[in-house]
Amino acid sequence: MGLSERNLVRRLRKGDRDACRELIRLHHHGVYGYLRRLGAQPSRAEDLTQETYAKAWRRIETLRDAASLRSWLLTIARNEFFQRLRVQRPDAEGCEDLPEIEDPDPGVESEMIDSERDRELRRAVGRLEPALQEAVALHYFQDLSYRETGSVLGIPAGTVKSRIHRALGELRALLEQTEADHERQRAEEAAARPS
Amino acid sequence: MRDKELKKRLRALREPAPSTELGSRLERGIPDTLRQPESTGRPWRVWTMPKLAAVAAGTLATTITLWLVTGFILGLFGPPVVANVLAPVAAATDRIQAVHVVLRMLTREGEDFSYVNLGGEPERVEAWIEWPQGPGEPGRARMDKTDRIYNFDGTGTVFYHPKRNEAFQGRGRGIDHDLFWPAAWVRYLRSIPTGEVEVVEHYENGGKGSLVLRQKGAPVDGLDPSFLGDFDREIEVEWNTDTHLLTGLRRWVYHKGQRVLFSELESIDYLESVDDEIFRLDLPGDVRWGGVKDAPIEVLALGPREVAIRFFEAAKSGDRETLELYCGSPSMVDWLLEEAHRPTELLFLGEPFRGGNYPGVYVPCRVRFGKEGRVKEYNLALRNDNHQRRWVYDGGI
Repeated sequence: MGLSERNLVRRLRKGDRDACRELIRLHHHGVYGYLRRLGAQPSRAEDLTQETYAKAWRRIETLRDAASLRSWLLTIARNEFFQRLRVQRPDAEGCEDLPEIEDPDPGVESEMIDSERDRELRRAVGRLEPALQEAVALHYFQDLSYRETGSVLGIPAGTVKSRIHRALGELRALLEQTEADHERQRAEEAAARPS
Repeated sequence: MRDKELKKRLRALREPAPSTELGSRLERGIPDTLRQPESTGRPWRVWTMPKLAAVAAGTLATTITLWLVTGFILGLFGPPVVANVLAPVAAATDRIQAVHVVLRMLTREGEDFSYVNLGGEPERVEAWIEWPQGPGEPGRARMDKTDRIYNFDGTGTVFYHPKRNEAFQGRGRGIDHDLFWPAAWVRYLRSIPTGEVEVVEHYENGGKGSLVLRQKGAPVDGLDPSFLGDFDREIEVEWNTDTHLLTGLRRWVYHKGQRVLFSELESIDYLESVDDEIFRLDLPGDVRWGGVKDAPIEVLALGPREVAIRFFEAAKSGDRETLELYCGSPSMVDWLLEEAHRPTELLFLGEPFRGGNYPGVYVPCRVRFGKEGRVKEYNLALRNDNHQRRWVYDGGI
């Protein structure tokens, strides 16, 4: 934790309401984005963000052990998400996987105005297996360190590192495949064009 | 593509943003007082090392002594007592396939099964449950209480209120079948952390086992305790020491120093399966169907206070359509629109708060009602565990 974050933690632990507002301002976009990435629809993601903060206020005392404020909040958000998933699917006991979504979240894409290149990258991330996807989302999109990512997922930092390594390899292959498909399509279009 | 470029592109991807109101909704949810984990007493710098060491040693010695004494008294140094004693009961009841139970409970009309109707008369509650027979199987359940019938036939749920001739339909199970499932009772008792439960009595003789426990209630923050979990309580479990099947369950709550019997198991039959006929509900042709309606998008984002305001405004102006949006019970809407009960002025609306085990929030309000202008204060109960995750009226008036 940096100095300013330590200061914020100290104020939160003293029950300072301005510090609570700051915690919301700094991190609610990240919490919401992560929940969307996990597969929550927009309204559900907002509800879960509210639940996450409500739980955070009740669990201020657990802050001491957190790797960072952001990872602490994302851990709560993740637990809330999976708990809700279990409540919704009572027959799927022990279901710890991410929802199976081929393209992780068409809704996420439709909300963004991306370049074609970004869209392809986003689509490629969505094709990764859920465990890799989540590691990428936390490490790159949420900007968490390996250790912080590990603390959210409940796995060692070394495992995060190897998941990221695998994810990068698969992403590279997927993007190269897409690029090759484009090339072939361009070549076919050029051949079909009257000279 | 090189790793460096790929990482740069990944970092530059933006995640979706929430609505602009989310931040202010979250700020409204900051409680007035946060739980403070640490004493903010004298600053550390005034403590010298010898003083610290002396205090630490003293505290450690006292803690160890208390821990040893308490531990020996409560028998904490073996495996947890409750979990241990009930282990064979849990194993036997876990093998049950179906059950028919009759209980007498201190509940009342219009409330759910865990409401404690202090001062009321015990009501008969009957339940049939068929536990899922394998992975992916839904199971079936029916529970009858004086004022309502809950039925899950394996595909959908129906709540029927005979007196109001009103029914509600749902896709899932609707309520937790654990409420009436003996194995779940035993599982729950075994799962209470040792420090949160006190063993009052335990014996096994003459083919019968009995265990009496005491448990603390959850704090209700200034509200009167209403639901079972809010009260300090005592639980008595009985079982057959040959079959290890549970045979009796009594629960008392403590209120103002008095021990009040909340529920008692009148009979329990262990079955292979339940007759299909039990799960077939024949509702009258003129039954009124209620439930949470699909609301327009602008309603979904409303917080509990805004919903309370719109609820009262709709009732005041006699706007049935809007009122039905915030209240899923047709008979409640009828009642609210009667001149004698219709709100005429919302005088005060407080901040929503949570209390006890209630899954929603309470909104304190002061309202003027009816022609005579009676003023009443309520804690309007709102919940959002519906398919749209939006706040709707659940009770309180």
